[in-house]
Amino acid sequence: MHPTIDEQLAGAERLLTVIESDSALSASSAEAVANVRRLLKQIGRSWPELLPFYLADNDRLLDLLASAPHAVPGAAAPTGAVSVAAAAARNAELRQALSDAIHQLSDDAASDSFRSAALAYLVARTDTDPS
Amino acid sequence: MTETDDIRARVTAFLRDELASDTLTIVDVERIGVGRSRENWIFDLELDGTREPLILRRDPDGGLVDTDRGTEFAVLRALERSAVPAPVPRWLDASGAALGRPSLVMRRASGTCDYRVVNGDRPLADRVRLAEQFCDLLAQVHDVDWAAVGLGEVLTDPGPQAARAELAKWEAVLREDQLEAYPELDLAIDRFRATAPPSTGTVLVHADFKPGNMLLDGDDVVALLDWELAHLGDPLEDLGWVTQPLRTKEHLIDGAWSAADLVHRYAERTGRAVDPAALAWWSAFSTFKTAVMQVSGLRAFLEGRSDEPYRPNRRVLSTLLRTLPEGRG
Repeated sequence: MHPTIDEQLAGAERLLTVIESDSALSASSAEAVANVRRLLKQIGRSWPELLPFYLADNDRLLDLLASAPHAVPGAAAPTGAVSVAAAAARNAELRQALSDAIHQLSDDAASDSFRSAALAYLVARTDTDPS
Repeated sequence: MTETDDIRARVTAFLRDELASDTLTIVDVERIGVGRSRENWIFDLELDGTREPLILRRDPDGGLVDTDRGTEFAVLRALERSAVPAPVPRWLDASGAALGRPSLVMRRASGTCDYRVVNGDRPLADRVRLAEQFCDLLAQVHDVDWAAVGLGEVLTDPGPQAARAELAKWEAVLREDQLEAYPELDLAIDRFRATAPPSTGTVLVHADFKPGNMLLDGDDVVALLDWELAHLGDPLEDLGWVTQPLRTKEHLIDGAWSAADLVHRYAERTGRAVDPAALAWWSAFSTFKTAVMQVSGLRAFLEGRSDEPYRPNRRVLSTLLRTLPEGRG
């Protein structure tokens, strides 16, 4: 169905170009237009990859949280989310659970092992997060 | 009424009150820069046949960091008793009652500002000399006798626990502004807490030392600007800020001025030994501060207080995670 999401984003960027060509545009308005363009580009880059990313990341988070030295509330079985919004909401819950697990760490070997696993997971997530 | 007309009217009324003059005028009002942490307006004050160039720094509705104009004004007043080339403070509206938002007015120094000057168009030898000069200026800031110039009455000395004090301060900012969990930052806090180094001494820390906060006249620094984050703390905080991986293009020159060169010259100028492990802690902590500022900026944007769409981005989080200190302090 037209317009697709990409077509709508491209249309919005084209309209911004029209605004930018206005020689009377103030510096602050030009900066605001540039910021809108940045946001649109980011959305265009990320939206197709968000759902698979969140679904895979939720699985990885569940695996990591299962190895936490303390029980972590909120890290129960996956919800089987099928929409971006539901997967993102679940991802936010699990990230909160990971933060809670980190807050509970102490100076023992199990905690150090979890720190290393969490660091490796977070580095990989940061490198692949499309949002 | 345009924003410029509003500022002109407010500044005129404010200064007529401050100077008890009905005849002074404000001319050539112009906003400079957009979307940064402060609103900057330049103008000239005409009074009794004289003309004084001034700059008004006004709090924005939303920004990366909440700081206090009263403290910044007091720091600048104290620095007038030092040799550090800082802006001359003139008037303060701490509450914003007259100027709309908390503001300070300073004498406007001449000169140009260039964020990337050490990697700009000048010949390499000139750029290296500038980089050395910046390093010497940092040493000069740290050599300020802060107690003698009265900074102890304005700022708190955190003593040997400066690293823990800064960590607590920035964690509080994070907790205040975060809208969701950031396990990346929580893991960083866990690591910083376990490895915080004792301070090597208390100095005046600028906390945003960079060419973008300096005015140059030719090859000379005529003013070090933007003292809003200044505080007392560990000298390695500033040294970590300028050597952190996120800011190499601002401070270092590939093949000609490395972080090691900067640290060596700094140690030579100040006579302070620089512990590499402690410096690495402060360097990683600098990246953490940047991430927290992005969290605050994101909240300001989402709440409509800022037009800058900040967010904790991949480059910052990735750098932070890859430079986190290991082990225990």
